[in-house]
Amino acid sequence: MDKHLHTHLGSFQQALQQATTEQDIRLVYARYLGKEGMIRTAFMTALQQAAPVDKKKVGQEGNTLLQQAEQWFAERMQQWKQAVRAQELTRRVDVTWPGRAHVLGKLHPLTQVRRDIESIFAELGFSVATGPQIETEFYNFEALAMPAHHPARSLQDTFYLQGERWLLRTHTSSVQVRTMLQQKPPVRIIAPGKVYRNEDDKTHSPQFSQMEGLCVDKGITFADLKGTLLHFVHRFFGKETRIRLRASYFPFVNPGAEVDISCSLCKGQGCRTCKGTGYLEVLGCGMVDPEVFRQVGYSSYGCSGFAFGMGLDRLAMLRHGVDDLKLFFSGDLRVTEQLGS
Amino acid sequence: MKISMNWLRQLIVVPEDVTTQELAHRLTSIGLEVEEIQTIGDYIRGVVVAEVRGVRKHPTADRLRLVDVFDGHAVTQVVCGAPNVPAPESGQYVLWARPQATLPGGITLQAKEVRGVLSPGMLCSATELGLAKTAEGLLLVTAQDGAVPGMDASALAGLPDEVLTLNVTPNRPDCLGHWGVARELVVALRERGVRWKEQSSGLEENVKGKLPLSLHVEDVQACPRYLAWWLEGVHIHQSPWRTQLLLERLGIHSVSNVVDSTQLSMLLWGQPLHAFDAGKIKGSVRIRKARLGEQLVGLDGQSYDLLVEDLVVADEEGPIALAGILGGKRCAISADTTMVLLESAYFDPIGIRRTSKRLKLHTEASHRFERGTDPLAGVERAGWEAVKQVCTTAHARSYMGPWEFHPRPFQVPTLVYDPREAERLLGASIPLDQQETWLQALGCDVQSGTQEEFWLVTVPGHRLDITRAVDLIEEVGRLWGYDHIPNRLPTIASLPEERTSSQKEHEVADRARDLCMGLGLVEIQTLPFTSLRRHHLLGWRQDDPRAHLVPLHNPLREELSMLRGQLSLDLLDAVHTNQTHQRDSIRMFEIAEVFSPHATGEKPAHEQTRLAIALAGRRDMHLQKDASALMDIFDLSGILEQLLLRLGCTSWELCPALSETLPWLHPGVAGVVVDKETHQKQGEFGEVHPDLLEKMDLQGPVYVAEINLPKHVPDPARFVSLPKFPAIERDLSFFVEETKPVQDILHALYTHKPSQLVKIHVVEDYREPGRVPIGQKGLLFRLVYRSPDKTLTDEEVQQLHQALVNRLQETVTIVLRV
Repeated sequence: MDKHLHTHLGSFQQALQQATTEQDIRLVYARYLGKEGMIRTAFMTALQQAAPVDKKKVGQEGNTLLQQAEQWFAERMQQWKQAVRAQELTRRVDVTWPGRAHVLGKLHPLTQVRRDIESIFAELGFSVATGPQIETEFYNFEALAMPAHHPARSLQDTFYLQGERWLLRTHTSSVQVRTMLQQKPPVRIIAPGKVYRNEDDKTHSPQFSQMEGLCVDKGITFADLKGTLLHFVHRFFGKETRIRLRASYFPFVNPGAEVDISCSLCKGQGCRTCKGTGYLEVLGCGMVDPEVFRQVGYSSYGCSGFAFGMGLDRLAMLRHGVDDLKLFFSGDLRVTEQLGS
Repeated sequence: MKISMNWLRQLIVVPEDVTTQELAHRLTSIGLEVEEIQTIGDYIRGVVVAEVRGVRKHPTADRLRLVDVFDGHAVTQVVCGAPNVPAPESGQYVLWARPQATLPGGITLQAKEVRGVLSPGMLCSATELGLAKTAEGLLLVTAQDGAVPGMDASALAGLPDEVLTLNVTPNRPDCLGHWGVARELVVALRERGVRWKEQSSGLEENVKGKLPLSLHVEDVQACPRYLAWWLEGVHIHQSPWRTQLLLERLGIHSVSNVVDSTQLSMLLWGQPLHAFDAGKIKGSVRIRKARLGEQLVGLDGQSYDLLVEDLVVADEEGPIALAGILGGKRCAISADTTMVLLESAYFDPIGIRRTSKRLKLHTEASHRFERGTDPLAGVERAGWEAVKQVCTTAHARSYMGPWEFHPRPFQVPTLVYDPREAERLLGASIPLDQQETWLQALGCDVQSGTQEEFWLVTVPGHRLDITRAVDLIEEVGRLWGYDHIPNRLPTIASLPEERTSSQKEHEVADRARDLCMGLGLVEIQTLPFTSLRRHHLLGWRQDDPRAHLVPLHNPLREELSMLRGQLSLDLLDAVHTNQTHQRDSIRMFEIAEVFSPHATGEKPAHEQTRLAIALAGRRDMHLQKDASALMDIFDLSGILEQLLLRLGCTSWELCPALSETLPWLHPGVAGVVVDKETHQKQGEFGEVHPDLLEKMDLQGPVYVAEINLPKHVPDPARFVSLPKFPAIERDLSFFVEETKPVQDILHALYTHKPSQLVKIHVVEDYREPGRVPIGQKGLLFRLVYRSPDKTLTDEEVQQLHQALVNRLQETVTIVLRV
């Protein structure tokens, strides 16, 4: 009996060493130490056959042997795990191989410029307003103090639709008018959007994008306009950028001014982009003309206001150092891929 | 507007320490933007007027001659190759560049041998002096040009000069002449010592008499003021050389002494004038509206058809000028003119603009009249200036005039101005005495009093753009300088409580942009112009309303004569562009407006924001196993499904395009996006039709989609408790008719689904012959069941599943596989 148990123990130990996979090791275990395993069976038989006086001793000896066998199994498993782990750690991967990314797309540079400006002005409480691209003369010209035959109309070559009563808006200033007709002061909006002019040459595209701003409230002055624009310029072009205002003329503002910024490329030293002047023309602005207030029924509110407008295409060109406006509308994915975000 | 600095210096004193750059900078800051400063003729040094004393043949060269020139002191022999060397005593002088003279490009001349004969310097053509692009032979001058042998050529030419190019805004016609610009400088640079020069008044003495012809202003509305002078015994010839040069560098073509006189006066005062050959005028002159069918042959030789709205100057035979725009050929000044009728008038700007615009005839005169000239002093001064010029340069024997036709005297506005209002608008305090000084220097009459709060300001005739107190604020503001106004941020009193619908739509479009970017699409922007012919590439039938586009009244050209009704074509063009750049994976989108003709309502077109997507080529550019796999329709539908999901369009779904005609898409690989709540079509998608691929020279397959965008972004989601119990899956495998869309099965399943069915996966579509009956396809769905309350038992799931399958079989003919 004892001999049997020992024989089985010996062959269990041997079999454990010979088994190399987890499954084999567990099979060996089942064969010897499972419910019906040889060692367990031999032990039970020995226990049954033992004389009553020996039973305790046989039982103790057998348990010790069983514990010994269990330990061998545990050790073998541990040994096996270590071997597997060691094997696993020999694995080598070239981590410089191109990754399996889901490749993201990109947004058009004009979209990015627009959003950046929207968020700068959002901090100042300006909300976005939009309007139709097909407009009437009223919203695009008349309400902006440009009645028929006003000479300023010749500055904006207009696309008319059949019948000439409707047109493609030449600026997003039409959104000013729509907004003021819809709501009472105070007003604080920016109006981004596409606008159209009947011109097509090296530096002009018949479609371009504008951002118009309007702030109307009690006590608004030219100083508020300057402060607002200076803040914008600092945030968009960098805080070292300087601005210069010079008198200009837009029929719907009075006084009106053009804003130049110190050239972002040459830092005001003079270069090709700024034509040697050290300054770049970036936007037009002014105090809302009383005639506009009259047209939209604001005259009695005792308000004043400022308005400004800028070309997003020009800002994008300056930001990215693009000198051909038409690249933005070429549909060439290489452009967006280079400049987009 | 081009301004000569030499001319300005005749009008104003500019201290030596005030540079042209400073003048230009100041002009720019007060609203007269200086776009360019050109220096002209500063390189011509050492060139003198010389008289030809003798001409001989060159001993060895046939084309060369030896010319003896006299410079007032001595005679020198110069070698010359020009064909037009004047004969001695012809009265014509040559310009001799002596040794050490400098010419354009900084060339310094040396005495050198020409074919064996020493030539000290050379005789110059206009090209060699840098005064013309081309020239035939030598530049010749005469005593009438003021030339005297030995005189410096630069001095004779009135050079060097600096020319400022000003961008004059439409509200400032007064600065379309040198006088107006001089006035601005006197006002703006007073502290720097810039002031008016004393001007000699010259004539300006009315000479009364009877006008030798009768003249009537019939349309006093269109011509409120008309002044005429009569000059006799004029001699027509070219203007002096220096005048010609001056006009040319100011952009005006020199014609003759009389015509140039009117031009010079215009360039001084900003008031256009016209000189008629009085000898050619037939009968009386009328300033009237044109008659139906009348024509005018202009000085430019073109014939213009006139309408009854056009103002003309006419004699008994018809129009002799298009008033304020263009003179007629018939009564133009010519070489034999001896009598001149000189016109200086104020024409109504609107009428001039209307006619000029219609005839596309933009002239120096119309440019000024349509902006509004000075109807008061300006008309008179300019007329007198021209009379003076004609008398001097054309040696008129006598003049008479002016006769004035001024039926309704002009009322200049007197404005009530509160100078403290300037601070309320500008946010800067400008001293009152400073304001008063400026307004007076601009020509306003200011009655300020001492106690009064308000000033009475009367505006001069050259500043009729000033009509309101706010215009006076602009004047003091621009002179104060906007750079001197402090910077302040406006305080916020209140903000809108909710977003507008347009704001929401703006948000949706931007959300869609972000989603497209996340789905691997690159954004492009294209132009919205197209042509009918191009639009019809899409294959429209004529009775399809989508075949029609919104036309532009004044397109740039035929190919851009319509507003697009769809974005797809522009994306396909972009696909083509990128394919020619050998790009093998194209994934792009555009969000823009499309336009369609509006059958009803006042607006001629409907505009709508759409999103379009195009895919072509490989799925991915990375070096993965499936790198070379081409994208297919499911790449497109997958993108659309994600977009609709994430834009909150839960009721929009992709459906087969059964009855829909989408002629630009492959009939078998096309679908529409339908809102199943409203049954409205919201878009279409599919593979581009092979015919269109061929027409557009595209490498297929190409996939396009174009969809509407929802009105607002989805509301925030409500939380549903997370599942606590395990899910159990059941497969559903069956054969169904090959043409049956998966969507129908899904619909049927969703319609009858028990609440415990939480997910349906479409796993497989197999059609291998032998495995599947002919005309059928095998489909495998995986259904996921889960209860929120407990762990479902196998029996429960089996019951639910069987009930659902039974309901499915009632709706759709399927053969279950075991």
